[in-house]
Amino acid sequence: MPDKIICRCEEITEAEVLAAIRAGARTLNDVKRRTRTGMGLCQGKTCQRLIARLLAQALGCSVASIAPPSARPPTRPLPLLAFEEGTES
Amino acid sequence: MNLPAAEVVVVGGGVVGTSITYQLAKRGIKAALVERSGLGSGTSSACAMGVQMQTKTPGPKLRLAQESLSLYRTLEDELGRDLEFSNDGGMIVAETTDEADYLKAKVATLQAHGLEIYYLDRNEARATQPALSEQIVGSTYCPDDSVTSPLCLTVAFAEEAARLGARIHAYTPVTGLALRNGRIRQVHTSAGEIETDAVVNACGVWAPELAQMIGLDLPIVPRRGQIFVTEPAPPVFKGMVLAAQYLVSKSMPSENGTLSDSLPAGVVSYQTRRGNVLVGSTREFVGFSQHVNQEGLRKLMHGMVKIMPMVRHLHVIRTFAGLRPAAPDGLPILERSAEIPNFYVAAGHEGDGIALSPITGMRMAQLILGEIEESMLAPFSSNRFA
Repeated sequence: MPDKIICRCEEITEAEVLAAIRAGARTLNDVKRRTRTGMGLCQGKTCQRLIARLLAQALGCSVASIAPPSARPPTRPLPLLAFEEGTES
Repeated sequence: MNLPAAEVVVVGGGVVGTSITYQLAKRGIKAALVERSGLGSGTSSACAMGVQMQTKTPGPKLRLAQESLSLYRTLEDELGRDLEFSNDGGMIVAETTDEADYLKAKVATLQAHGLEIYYLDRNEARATQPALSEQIVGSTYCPDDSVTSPLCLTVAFAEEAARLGARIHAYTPVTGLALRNGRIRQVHTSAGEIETDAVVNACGVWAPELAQMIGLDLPIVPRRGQIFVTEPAPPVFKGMVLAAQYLVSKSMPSENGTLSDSLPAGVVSYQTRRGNVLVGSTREFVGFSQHVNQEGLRKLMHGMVKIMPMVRHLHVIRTFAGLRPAAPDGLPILERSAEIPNFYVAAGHEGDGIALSPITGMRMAQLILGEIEESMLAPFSSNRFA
């Protein structure tokens, strides 16, 4: 089932991820920049490990050797309101 | 160990380097692109998405931006890819009468330079952009202001360049440049040597590092821009919306000296077609640090909520900071080196790299092939700092 969804937030399929890897993506960040995986509401918490596995398979290395993507806080979506405390008015 | 020879080696796989490589390949030149990490992994994936006209200094930079915009209008067809290019216009919002006066003067100047731009009073501005606060005084409106996706753009340039015969070497750091008789003859990389006739330094914020390999100085320093992105929301606003606050604070001395110059920031916002609201940017000189901090992000959020209150109900899903390559006068350096005649520089675009990348690629290819006179790029030569 080549069109199964890997990143459900951005609705990116396995086929799209594999195409990005074939086009030269070597890291989770590369796949992200090419396909938008991990750029949605969950910020890659669901898809990251699936993509790491696809990368490891394609590159012939271990999943552990796939570097994590750049950390881009917050860990969970935060309302803008939460940042307003303590700001000048 | 050798890589195939190339007539031109472009170093730096961001939006500028890939654009140059594409333009060279399009002209039948055997080009190689060398990037030490992933394509677009530096500034080109940690920036806003503006292709803005009204923020450009009138003169050579505005003209370059306008030429770039005319290339943008057909670029998706030319590259055969969706670049998320959208020409929705842009507004700079005044929150005080001082800011309004400043913007009115700015509009007059830009009009005199041939840019289509208007000043709108509060009602006109809110009719154009209903999400704007009732508290605003007025705004500019520039129909030509546009946006594009830097991620799509970088990959599109690189893939089209490759299709036209260019070699793309990602994850291939340059380790040295070999000179003979005052010219670069070889680019040494982690994957081997490339024999070449010319080298282009398109390393952005890292351009001085490459120039140093042959003992040249480039006055480019990193300028950090913090950015945040919200969850996708239904359409709140259209086009680019900026706050005048920062533009004004740059050109008018603050009355009480309380302006926190330690962390200059100006709101630049856009709602993408997916619905995410992207808000930048701080403009800080803090070396190569790419961290975000609460102070910077709060400043942006506060500034954004002031001009567009309904955004305060959205959730922030991602924050990041990118390094803009800043030259002392805010203009890019586009030139053939005076010291090494087959060494070219295309760097220092600061926050204008996305807007200027198509024209930068074209002009650099034309310069290298002698299709244009060097004097055409004189305003962008580094001898302006001499």
